[in-house]
Amino acid sequence: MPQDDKWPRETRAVKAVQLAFDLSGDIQRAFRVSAAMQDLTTSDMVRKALALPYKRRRIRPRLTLSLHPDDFRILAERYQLEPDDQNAIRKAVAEELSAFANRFFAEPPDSDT
Amino acid sequence: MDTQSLTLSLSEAVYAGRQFDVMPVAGEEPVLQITVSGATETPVYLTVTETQILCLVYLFDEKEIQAARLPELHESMLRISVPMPLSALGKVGEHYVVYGALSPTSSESDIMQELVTLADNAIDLLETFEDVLA
Repeated sequence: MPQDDKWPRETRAVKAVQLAFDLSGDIQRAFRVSAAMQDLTTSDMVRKALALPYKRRRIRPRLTLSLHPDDFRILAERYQLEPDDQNAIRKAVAEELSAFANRFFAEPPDSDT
Repeated sequence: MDTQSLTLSLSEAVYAGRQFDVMPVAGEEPVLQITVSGATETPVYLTVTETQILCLVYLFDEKEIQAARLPELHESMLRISVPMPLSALGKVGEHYVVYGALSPTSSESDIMQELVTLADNAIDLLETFEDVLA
């Protein structure tokens, strides 16, 4: 079945768009990560990178988790607790999140942004 | 119409109450990433060739689709493509896209109409196909 060699110029244009899409994805990811590492909003991080004035509104990193009945059921099974014992489940969740954070800071990401 | 003049004209234009953020993307072929106000989650990529102005929005990747529902998705995409205004569905590499192509002699107003319609259609499509995404 003929593929995309019939319109070489158009094919090149489509590839250029593909490259642009991939590149913009990488760029956006880099800015999201570096903004998070500096407690900045992504748009402020962009302004900072361009040496433009920004308000230095540091975002307040809040960690919230809303657990629904289905979540309690899944977590109870994982921690081998009773689904109704929500306090014990919340405690186990807090310990797991804390362990995750400790692991994360022990092995920080490669980029030092 | 070329990408440079489009960058300038779109940056200051308003069409049907919508504004455009234009970001040229570096590369061998000039490509613009255009964000339409009210549809910021579906940026439009635009490039100009001798034969057409190609506008394209990336929807999702092959690997994001529930494998068992792939034939159903393809059937639905083919059927939706016909009535969908100013846009059609396609695939670039592993990415499913919605796109629109215009004549290189199209007016700025035609291009803006395409951009707004395409960005809005992309949001509708993402909602329509949400069920088949893994």
